[in-house]
Amino acid sequence: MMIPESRSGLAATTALLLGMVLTGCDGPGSEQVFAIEGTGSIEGRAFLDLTRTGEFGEGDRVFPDLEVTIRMEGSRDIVATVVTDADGRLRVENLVPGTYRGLPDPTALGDSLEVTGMDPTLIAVRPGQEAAFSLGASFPILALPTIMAGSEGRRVYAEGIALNPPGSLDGDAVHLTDGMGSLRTLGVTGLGARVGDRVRILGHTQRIDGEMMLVAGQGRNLTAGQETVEAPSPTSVTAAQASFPGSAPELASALVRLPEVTVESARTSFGRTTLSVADPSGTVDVVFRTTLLFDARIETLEVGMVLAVTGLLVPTSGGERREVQPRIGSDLSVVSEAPPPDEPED
Amino acid sequence: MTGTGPAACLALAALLLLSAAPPRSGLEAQSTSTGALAGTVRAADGEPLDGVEVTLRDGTGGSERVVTASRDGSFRFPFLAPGGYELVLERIGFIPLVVQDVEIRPGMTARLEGSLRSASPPITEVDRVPFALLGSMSGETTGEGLTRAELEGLPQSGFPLVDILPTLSTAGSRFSMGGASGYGPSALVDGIPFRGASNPHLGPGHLHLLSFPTWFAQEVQHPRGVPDAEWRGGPLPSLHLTSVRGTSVFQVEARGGLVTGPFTSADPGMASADALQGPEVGVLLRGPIRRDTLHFAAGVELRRLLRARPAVAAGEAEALVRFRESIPDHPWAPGDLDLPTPTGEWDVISGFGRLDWRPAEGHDLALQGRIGLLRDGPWDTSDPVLPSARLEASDAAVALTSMSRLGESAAIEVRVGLENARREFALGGIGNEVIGRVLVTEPGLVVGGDPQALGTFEQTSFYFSPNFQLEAGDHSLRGGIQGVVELHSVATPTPGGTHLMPTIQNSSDLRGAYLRWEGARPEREFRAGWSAFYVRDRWTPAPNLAITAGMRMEFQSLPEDEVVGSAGWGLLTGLSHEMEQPEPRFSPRLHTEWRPSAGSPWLVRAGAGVELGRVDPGLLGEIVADTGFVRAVRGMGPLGEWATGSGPETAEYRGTRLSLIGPGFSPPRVRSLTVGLSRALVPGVELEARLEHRATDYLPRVRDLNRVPLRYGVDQLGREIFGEVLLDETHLTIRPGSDRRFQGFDVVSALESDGSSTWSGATAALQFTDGRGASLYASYTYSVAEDDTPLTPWGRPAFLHGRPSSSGDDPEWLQGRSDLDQPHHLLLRGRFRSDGRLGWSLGATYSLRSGPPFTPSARDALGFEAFESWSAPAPIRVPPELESEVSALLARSNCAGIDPDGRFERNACRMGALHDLDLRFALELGAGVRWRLLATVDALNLLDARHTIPDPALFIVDGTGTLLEEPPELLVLPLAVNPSFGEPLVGLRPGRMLRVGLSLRY
Repeated sequence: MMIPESRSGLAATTALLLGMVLTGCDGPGSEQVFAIEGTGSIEGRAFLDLTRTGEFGEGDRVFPDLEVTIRMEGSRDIVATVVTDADGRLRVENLVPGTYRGLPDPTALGDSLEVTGMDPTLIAVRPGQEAAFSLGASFPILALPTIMAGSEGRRVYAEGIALNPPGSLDGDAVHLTDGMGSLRTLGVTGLGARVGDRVRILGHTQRIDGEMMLVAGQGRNLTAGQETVEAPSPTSVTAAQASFPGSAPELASALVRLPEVTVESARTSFGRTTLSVADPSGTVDVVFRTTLLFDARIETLEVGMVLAVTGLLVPTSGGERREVQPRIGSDLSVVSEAPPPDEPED
Repeated sequence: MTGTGPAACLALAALLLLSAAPPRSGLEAQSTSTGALAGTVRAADGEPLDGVEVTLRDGTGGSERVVTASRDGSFRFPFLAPGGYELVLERIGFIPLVVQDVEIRPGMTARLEGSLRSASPPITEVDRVPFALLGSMSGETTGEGLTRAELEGLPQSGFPLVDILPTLSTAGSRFSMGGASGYGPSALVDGIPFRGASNPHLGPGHLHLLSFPTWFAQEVQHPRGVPDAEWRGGPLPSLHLTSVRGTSVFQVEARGGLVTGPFTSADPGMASADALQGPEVGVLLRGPIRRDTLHFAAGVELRRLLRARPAVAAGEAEALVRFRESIPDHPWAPGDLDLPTPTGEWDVISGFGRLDWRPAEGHDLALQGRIGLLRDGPWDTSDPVLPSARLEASDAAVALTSMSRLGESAAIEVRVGLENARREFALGGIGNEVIGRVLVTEPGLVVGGDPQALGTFEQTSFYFSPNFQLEAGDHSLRGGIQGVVELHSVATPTPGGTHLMPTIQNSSDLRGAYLRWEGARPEREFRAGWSAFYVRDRWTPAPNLAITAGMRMEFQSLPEDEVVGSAGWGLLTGLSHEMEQPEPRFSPRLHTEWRPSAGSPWLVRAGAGVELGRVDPGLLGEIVADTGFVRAVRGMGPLGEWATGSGPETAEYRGTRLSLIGPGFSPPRVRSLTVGLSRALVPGVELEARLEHRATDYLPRVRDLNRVPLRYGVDQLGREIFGEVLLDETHLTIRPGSDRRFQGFDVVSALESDGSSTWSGATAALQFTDGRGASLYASYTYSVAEDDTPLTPWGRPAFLHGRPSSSGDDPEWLQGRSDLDQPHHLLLRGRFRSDGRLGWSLGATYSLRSGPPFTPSARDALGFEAFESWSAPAPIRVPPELESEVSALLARSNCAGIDPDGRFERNACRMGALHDLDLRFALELGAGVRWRLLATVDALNLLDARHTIPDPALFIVDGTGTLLEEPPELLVLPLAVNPSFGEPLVGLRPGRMLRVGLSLRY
């Protein structure tokens, strides 16, 4: 029978059609797309960059308990937050590959610390690999007038030209100038420098005798091995300007020169000599180690001698007066000897 | 019935074109014991066709009678035994028409009118069609050309476009270019995707076809890269000279004409990306060299095409003028707002030749060749705003086909051929070295140059295909091997770069973000290819049931050896740059036709199958060429200077550009199911209903692997912003490089085949013919198209946001209404021809199609990911304070569809419906015994339906405003409502066209 035959064929065909539609339903899946699979990690160290080199080295210290946030470049979302361990080390795992930044907790740094180096700035995290990261933080380098005008107790770096060789002044004091101002630093250790060298000294600020100074500083000669630049020229002042801070406050800790002052009195005690010198504006004390007279080839000190004096201004008397402290023998020179004593009239 | 019986194979003219009008049969009185069959054969234009060989076989295949139609096209078979017969109409240069189930009744004369399409000259690939096609053509009654069912009935999918074109009728199938979902430029024929014949840089837009003779391309005019440009046809007025001596037909056909259309520069949307056709002349010769054994055909054609380059929307003119004035020594008057649409000319010379030789009975050889050259005519090259896109192109092909019949029931066909196509795109104009293209962005105006890549592209392919056919009982078995080797050459210079000026306000200071290129891509050659085995059987277990089943296995070869990886990228990501060869894939097909009984008016058709596409060689070219030779430099600064940034925040960013092909990349796969039901209501009237569903997967999608996976913030529109947002005096942009996941690399383009789409449609169609020249065809289709593969207006996959696990992905939003979704399609086609010696005919085609959809967006410089300015598609929502301001704009663009999160759904808005009307009027001016003079007037696109790219920017980010950042991640951008939302930015269709011509038939 034709019709039944065709119907059976049709039924078979229908079944085949349906089967065909149902087959191949496996569409494309995730295997059709790229997947940057796996994760990477960041292994890093945070350190106190006391040498301010940006790299961890001798003289630097590890930075424990520093909170570091990890952000992906181009995003403001924080991917991870870690705290450095006692060795200053941090480790972040399970990061999707990409480019990240490691940023220290700004509240942990506060005003007294700043980032000196992130190596690398952009951390490329690769699948299955460990990206190295170092984060250096250190104290800020402030201009000397900023230090002078700032508050006490801050730990900062002062950077400037050394006005005296270390050890030349009492209290291991070193005076610096940066062209905008001068600063007296005390207790400087580890600094081998000559006058004119550019140095950086770490210390905390302290007001002594009414004047801001940097105390307990650790110094570093930035021009070590290089040609010494010519020492800064002293500022010519009068005795009154040198003596009274109120008359020339900008001269605090500065290197000054009294071109012609007359010795009014001289006294020596325990190897230190104090001269009271005067010019028409007034008087000022000049204080130095007695041995400096030998360097200056001054055999005798007599009242009435006229001297040219170069030295650093140092506050005294609770900040009411300043004295001049010559550094080396050449800071003292005789302009004219004392006039002979008046002959008694016959 | 097998369709492709030996008789059909005998047809020397393998160039069998187009449609066979549905035969009409009626019954007239005859002798009481026998019946008769009489009929008339006409050409497609209604003219009687002489010299047609008419073969009549009885239903059992036992007897066969052959007559030749007379000069008036009539034929007659008297004294036929009652029963079922099959009729075959054949003539050189025409597609054979097979009519089944011709019923002869005692005492009656069955009348039949057949129409053979005047075919293009014999062109190579057409051979494949009759060999495979005839079976599925038989019995079709709807439409004048191939219907969808017929096209789907093609046993082997993936035909190159050139295979399909000749099978299209001028009015039947609808043809569109460039819109296959996610598959770059390709062709849709009645909605069925067919891949282009070659590299998309070589075509398959009109560039490829322009170099074909008009006869071959049937005057295809479809703009390159146009999402949906329908093909409109109709031959130019022509002169045919035909001489018939016995059964030998000599033909000389001369064509000439001029096509003009209104072409006004004042029309801002008049920005045809394509050509308006100019003068055209051509000559075709064909005829026998040695009677019955050696035939030739040759033709040459010259055309000049008037071509308009994309112009600019009027609202953007001010920016362009400012830009012009920024060029030193610019030739324009200050403030000159007159922006004439630049035009140019293409000169096209094309020719073909064909030789058909029958060295022995049962053995045929066909040698064919064609060549086409295209050169740019003079262009105005002094305009740096619109630097001229110069084009030189050539096509050449040669093919040899051998067909041998082994007895009455078997045949072997072998085809071998070589094709070459070359295109060279270049920019002219001053300032090109510095500026390159200027984009006023997102997604908006593209000014200057061509959206396609510049460079030289060449493809040479060699193919070899042996096939067999075997007839045994009620089985017709076919099978064969197809193999193609393609050699591609890609040389793409790096243009100067692109400047991005987000808005008019921003660009008034001529500042913007820029992208320029360092380094040059090397010229690369690569080889690709594919091979396939197929077998198909058409089984007719009963006269009322036919089942066609086929299976194809295909291998595709990708140029894995030519891909040079980037070691740096591999180290950073662990991703391989290597290309994997796709697995061999199978594609079964099944199609059935069933009538409840032999004489039933009902006919059921059903089909299901899997079609496989191929990896687009153009996409492969990018993979091969973009392997780290070019660095992108991104920055911000004044136009024309490629300025370096003023500070670290705006410093230039340099990154290597890469293109990668995804793991397991596979060409697209289409699974389709079609069920149709038709019924002959009364003689001449047939009703058809059809349900179709197609699901495509493995569609290519592109994303930027190197975009930072975590967002920077979310703006008040709900968009995720990636990379640090920077306000740079005049514009908001992303800090160069801050959106790069891995430093040192720019966009790393990943081509992955994880896209999918579905198309479901229901069609109702009605056809009426009265047998005297009047016909009407009406169809309405409602369809739903969804996908997750957004396209750029140029048909390429749009860049998607990344797909990292962390964020940035929004697959639920992407899955939605397709960019190609046009749910309503009404087609009315009618023709009326007067009776009488001096007659006239009138034909009309009206089409109504839903407007293309688009997605509301915001225009800014916050996404500048690729060569183009287009950002990844992203959902937006309307801020409450702007709702009232935009409500009228949204209503104007038919916007609807808000998702549960308050965001616009994908493609929530839609352009207005497209009405399309074509008319043809033909009038016979005079006729004699041996001549007829016919005047033809074609009025195309009478309603001036114009496909446009709408301005989808509902908001514009004003860079001169204030950017507010509200913790934790909200970015409040300075927004302004765009009054041009939904307005056309660029038109993509030529205007109305009028063609007038005379035809003298002697």
